[in-house]
Amino acid sequence: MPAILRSLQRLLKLFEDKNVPYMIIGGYALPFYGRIRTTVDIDLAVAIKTDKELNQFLNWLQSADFEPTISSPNNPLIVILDRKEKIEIELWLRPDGIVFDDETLRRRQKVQLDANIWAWIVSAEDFIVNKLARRDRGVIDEQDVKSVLTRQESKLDNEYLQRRAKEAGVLTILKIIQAL
Amino acid sequence: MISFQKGNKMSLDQRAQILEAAVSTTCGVRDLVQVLGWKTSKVVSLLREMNKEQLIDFQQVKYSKRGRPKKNIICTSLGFEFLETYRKLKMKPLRARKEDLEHAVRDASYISRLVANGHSPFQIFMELNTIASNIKVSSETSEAI
Repeated sequence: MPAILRSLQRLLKLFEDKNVPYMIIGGYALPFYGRIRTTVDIDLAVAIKTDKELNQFLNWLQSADFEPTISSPNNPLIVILDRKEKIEIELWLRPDGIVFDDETLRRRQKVQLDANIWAWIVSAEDFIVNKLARRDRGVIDEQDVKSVLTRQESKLDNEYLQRRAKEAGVLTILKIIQAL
Repeated sequence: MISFQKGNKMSLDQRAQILEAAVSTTCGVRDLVQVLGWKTSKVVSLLREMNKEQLIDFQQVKYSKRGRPKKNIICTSLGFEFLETYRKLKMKPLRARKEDLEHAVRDASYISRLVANGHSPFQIFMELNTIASNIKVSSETSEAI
């Protein structure tokens, strides 16, 4: 098993054991909905809302050999280093454009990453909105979105997608990409 | 110059939407909630933030009768400047060219065919990533030698 998957397996087990709602976002969710491209970033969104929850969460991570290298309550991102596998994983507390509510969690998909690893990944609709709402959105993000729109064409919940895109202020750009 | 804090959830689009509404007609918070269709709490919090950034001002309405005094939202000169720049940028919101998006469609169609032939996209992705990672490691090793 690749080191990345070994690392993810331990981290996801920690989340399951501690009942931390999470979902894989970004490049590792892309192959399930759109095209395949290589990426070094592993991004996960975790539903941590209060400072108290955050402190507890950081303690859990450390006790499982994941060292938080960047973290502060105001930062939407925590970067952790897996001490065993020497792999960095990005944990998003406030992923761009995603509202971490019950509906978002309900729409996650459980997917198989390896023979023994199952994980929650972001829904295709929230994936699209997250990509478009990125502050540093680039050509690759727009291509990723187009690939998801192409592959998931008949499966997308358009009402939900448009509502979330509107809330995130990216409805115009979504419509342009859909039309091209 | 306005600098927007990293991690700030309020997007440029949302700022622009509020400013567009404020310049198109005289409006208070309640009017804005109606026009934008967002939650009142969200609009209030966005307005506070924009007021701090000096993009908008609040002007108390003198003829307000009962209840909480009404305040109109006024776009400041900095707000106008923001809106003008935003409108110019809005003309080219797409970073990708048409060809880039066509490329993405081809990629996606290829994956659909792979899935139809019984392949797992994630497994292919992992294999590809492993190959890319091995190439990176071997190129770093040869550089070190």
